[in-house]
Amino acid sequence: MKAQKQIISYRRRCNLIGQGTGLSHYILLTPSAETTPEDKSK
Amino acid sequence: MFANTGQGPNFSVLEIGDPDRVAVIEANTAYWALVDRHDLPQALGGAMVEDFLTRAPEFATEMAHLRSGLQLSAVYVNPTERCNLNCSYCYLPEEMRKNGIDMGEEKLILALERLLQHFRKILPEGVKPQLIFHGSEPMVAREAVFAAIARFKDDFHFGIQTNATLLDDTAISFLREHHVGIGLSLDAPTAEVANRTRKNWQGNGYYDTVVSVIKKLVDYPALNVITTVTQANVHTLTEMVDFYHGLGVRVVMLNPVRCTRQGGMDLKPDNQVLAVAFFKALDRSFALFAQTGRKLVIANFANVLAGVIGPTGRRLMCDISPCGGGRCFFAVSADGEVVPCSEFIGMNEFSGGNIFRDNPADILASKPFQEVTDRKVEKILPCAGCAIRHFCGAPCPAEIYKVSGDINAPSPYCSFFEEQVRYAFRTIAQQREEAYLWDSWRTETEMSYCWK
Ligand code: SF4
Ligand code: SF4
Repeated sequence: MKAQKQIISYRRRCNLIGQGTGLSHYILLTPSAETTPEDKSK
Repeated sequence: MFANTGQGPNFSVLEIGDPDRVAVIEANTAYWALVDRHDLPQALGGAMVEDFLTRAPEFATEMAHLRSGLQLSAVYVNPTERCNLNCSYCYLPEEMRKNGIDMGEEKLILALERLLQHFRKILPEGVKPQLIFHGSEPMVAREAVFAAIARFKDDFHFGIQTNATLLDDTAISFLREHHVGIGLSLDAPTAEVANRTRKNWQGNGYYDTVVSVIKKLVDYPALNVITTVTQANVHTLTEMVDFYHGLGVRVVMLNPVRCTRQGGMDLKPDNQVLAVAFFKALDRSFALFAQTGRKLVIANFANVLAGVIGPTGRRLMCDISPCGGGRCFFAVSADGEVVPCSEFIGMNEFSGGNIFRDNPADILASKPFQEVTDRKVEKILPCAGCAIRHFCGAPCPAEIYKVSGDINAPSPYCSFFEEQVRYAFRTIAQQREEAYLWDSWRTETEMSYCWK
């Protein structure tokens, strides 16, 4: 018999809530052209 | 403790099309677990139920904040009613686009000044609001727009959504220098198809111009390309993904056309045809990422996936109810009238006031705005009983109002949205999230819950 698959269940939380959430309706303004303190990818 | 009886939570079971797992969902809190399909009895009683119940209040608070606690953080401004193109599916009235008015530099600056005063009162120090110049075609009012950007460069994060036909090299340098987010529109990988829907008043397309502008901007981190998906191009989506990836584009949106106006309605793709084509395009973007290590984010899908993974991790606010229109952002038309979202421009019954006369706080509290911010899936059938209601949001109120005369009705894209959420769950089951999400996703979010 096939081995049972593990349950996958998780949830993440935005740490920019109130800043990053709810910016727009269809223009994803990320990655922003300006480097923000939270964004260390640039 | 058992699910679905007594004090137990209501767990819905969703077939997601994965060979091994099904999804178990508690819809109100947007909780989910992917469970081996032979192991369901264990998921519907015992440890998983107990574990959910201990965390449920926290999930519920998070949903309440997302759905009613967010502040205004962005404004769309139409500096002109005019457009140099006449795309078949445009949601703005034709007469307005042809002979409409401009706001003019002085009034545009006054509008931004008034908005800034409001933002200074509500936003924490150091947080810049977003200001997006939107259409009609904002570059028709280039001088006013550039003067406003130069003047308020330290106060707003600016963006511009443009058809690209008026972006010459000087304009491009100016926008780059001022870190302005740039959204361009292109509908197909070949001139023949692209020019069918996006063309000027004489019927001539601009495919070559748009592609040459994309090439000039491809290294620019804040470039987004929007493809509006219609009957005319739905069969080209996979080619489109190859084409954008080949050009080096990093973020695109493949947005199904809104039926807000007749032109859009006439071009709406069939939901099943759309689902098949859209998922092929997503599969292709995955394959390209696996082959090259270079990612083309399909942002409208990425946003749905991000919303499943963490409700507050979404960036676009169409797929949650109430949507972001009239609470997270609003749109100012060239005559100063303020509507909940650009999708409502030209529908005066939804005007909450005028930016030159009324305070933004009063506009946000106005009756027409409340009608939109009160549009919750719980009030809509069949959405009220739909397990994925907080992953879908049943958009779009403006479109649905035009289609059915009532904003509290379900979406013409309902069956497509169902399939899209199933695809998102399959992506999670296959642990392929990373391949579809934008790069800064991990640093912008943190794990708040994990089973075992
Ligand atoms: S539009 Fe359809 S998929 Fe979306 S919440 Fe309503 S019933 Fe569910
Ligand atoms: S659902 Fe429609 S009205 Fe709401 S934010 Fe999206 S486009 Fe605007």
